[in-house]
Amino acid sequence: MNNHDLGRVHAYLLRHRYVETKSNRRNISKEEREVATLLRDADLEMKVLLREILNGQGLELVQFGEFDVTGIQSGATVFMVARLPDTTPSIFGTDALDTRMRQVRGIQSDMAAKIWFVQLWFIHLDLIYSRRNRGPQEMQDYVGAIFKRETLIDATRDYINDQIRKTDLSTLADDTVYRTLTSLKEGSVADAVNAFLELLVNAGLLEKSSDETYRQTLLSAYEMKANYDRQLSSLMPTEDIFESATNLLIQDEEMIGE
Amino acid sequence: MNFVSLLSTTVRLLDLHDSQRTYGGMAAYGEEKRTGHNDGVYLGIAIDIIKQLYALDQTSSHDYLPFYTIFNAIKSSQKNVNEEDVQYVLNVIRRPTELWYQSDDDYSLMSEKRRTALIEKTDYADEYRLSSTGRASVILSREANGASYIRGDAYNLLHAIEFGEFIKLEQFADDLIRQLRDEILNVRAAIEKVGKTESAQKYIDNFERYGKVIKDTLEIISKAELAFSSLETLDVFNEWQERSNADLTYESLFGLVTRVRQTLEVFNRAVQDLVSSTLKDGRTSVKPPSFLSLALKQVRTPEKESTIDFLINQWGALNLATSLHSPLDGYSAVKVKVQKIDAIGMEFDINDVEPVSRVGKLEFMDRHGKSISQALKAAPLRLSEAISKGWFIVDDKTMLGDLVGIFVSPESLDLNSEVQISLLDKMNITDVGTGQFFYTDLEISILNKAAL
Repeated sequence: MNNHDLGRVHAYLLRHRYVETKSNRRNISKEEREVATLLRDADLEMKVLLREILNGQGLELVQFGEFDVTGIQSGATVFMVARLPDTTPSIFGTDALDTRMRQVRGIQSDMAAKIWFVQLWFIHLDLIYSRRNRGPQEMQDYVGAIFKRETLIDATRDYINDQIRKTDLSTLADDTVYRTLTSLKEGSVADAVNAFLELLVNAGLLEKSSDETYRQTLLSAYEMKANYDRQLSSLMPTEDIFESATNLLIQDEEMIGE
Repeated sequence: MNFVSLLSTTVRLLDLHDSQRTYGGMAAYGEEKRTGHNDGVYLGIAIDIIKQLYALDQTSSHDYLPFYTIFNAIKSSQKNVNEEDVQYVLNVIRRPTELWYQSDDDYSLMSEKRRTALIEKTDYADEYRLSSTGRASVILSREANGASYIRGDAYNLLHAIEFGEFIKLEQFADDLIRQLRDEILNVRAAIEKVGKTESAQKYIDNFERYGKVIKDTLEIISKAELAFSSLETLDVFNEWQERSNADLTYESLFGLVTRVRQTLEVFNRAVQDLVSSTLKDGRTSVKPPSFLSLALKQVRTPEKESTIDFLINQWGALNLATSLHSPLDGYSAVKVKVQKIDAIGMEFDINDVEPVSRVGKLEFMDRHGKSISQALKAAPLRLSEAISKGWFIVDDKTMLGDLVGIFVSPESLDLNSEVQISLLDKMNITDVGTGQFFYTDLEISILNKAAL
């Protein structure tokens, strides 16, 4: 790989964030195959140089082979550009996210677009992690993290109707998020989910397997594994004090009276 | 022996063999009536019988074992078993069943009954031995043994090199790599779930055994690499390649053997990682977080806008934001519609052209027309002759075209007589001072001079 190739690989990685030399699962363009092959066959020096450039941009070059992760075709190599924790990559922007979310009828401000995106993101994580009893470090299970569009729409509607609308308003410190989520009409919720899915697919964090089915990508699973502890765990709600004490005191439950 | 893998495979294949579903019916069709006896006693007796008969088969080939020898051996390990139970199991496993299947070659219908019994009984005594299918069942159950038995596969690889069986060598190497890859990926998944599932325990309990197996297998593969790189093997390979039409090269096979060693090293590292992370951390797995609770928390106590921005930048769907615009960014973005102009047919403007033509023609004819007419009346006139007399120069202008025009259209001379044009086959060269004219000469002559 010469300097010209380095520029080509760098540009492609920034644009797509994921390249693989071959795949059974999806069609790979000629350009992607060429870029992945260039990177696979590159001298160590050039690879180090590319890693350093990406690190300077708040990114990390990750390489996986068939023996590292499930779902990689035999003999194939995958390269990904993941975000490093605590270094917001200035080369990426949220313009597309704001614009697309605001195309949904009822989402009228940038703040509303952000709130909707973050809330949908948590609901989608609930589908592919919490409901599957899957910890954030369980990257290998990404191949089974599949859900249907309708499932996410139903989960979002259930969340708004069963949890948000039933919230006692007096318990809210600030009703901004509440008002944003409840102001959208029923039909627009599906539009918001569609916009969210489209954005995640374009960003390489979800893969559209068929018209209605989506799967988590390896990139998304890797970022969750690498960054959860430093970024998200501190935001998680703390366990109820009584529940924690119960868990601590009761080691084994034993059925009596049998 | 791993009979569970064999049994589960058999059960599902048998479900399909016996299925009464009509073709094209519902995909969710189900008719499982297998209730299962949840103590596994009969299965245990059957496996014990097969093991005993297999052990006998190894020592005294294809010999029969008396019923009481079988019964006493089972009784020693399973106290509650009586003679009738063992007799019942023997009856079941020696019963043949008719199986219907399609041939591998052309999917034609085949059936088998005779070879489906697992054991055989002598005609006159209560003695039993394994049938060929029974023997195969033991071998099949041993296939699913995992990485502990890869040494045997590595020996197969070495022997394939020694015997010059290179197709088998490729097959053994592929099998080994595939088996090791499965194990490596299982280990990687187990590393992520230490403390949550028991998947890591198998590797931790057998760590020393795995270490020895890997070490031994690496030694065997090193021997295989050495054997394969010898000149003798290269000669054998070249001879084999001339006879065979297999699409294999020496280099590709050598690469395959090397890849087996590399895969073994990856497996070794993976097992070590698993054990060290288990011993060090005790638990790599964290409790699956409730992301819905986190979403709800954001509703009750919303985060600051800066925190939301941070979350989106760190985790959100971002796209490349670049100011490096290309001149082609807006290519064809704006469509300009231009009023269509009606096409106008070509028209020859006689009024303008004719005077100009007439002027040129008259000018030439005024100057040389008379001379040309007189010369023609006197004798046939050639173009070369007219050129040599300078009848194409009018003042300071060269009007060669007009002169040639006279020769191809002599009626313009108004002679009132028929003029014949002849093309001479001789190429003419005329020196005109500034250069030379190359042309085929023309001759015009009056046909009926009497009329003049």
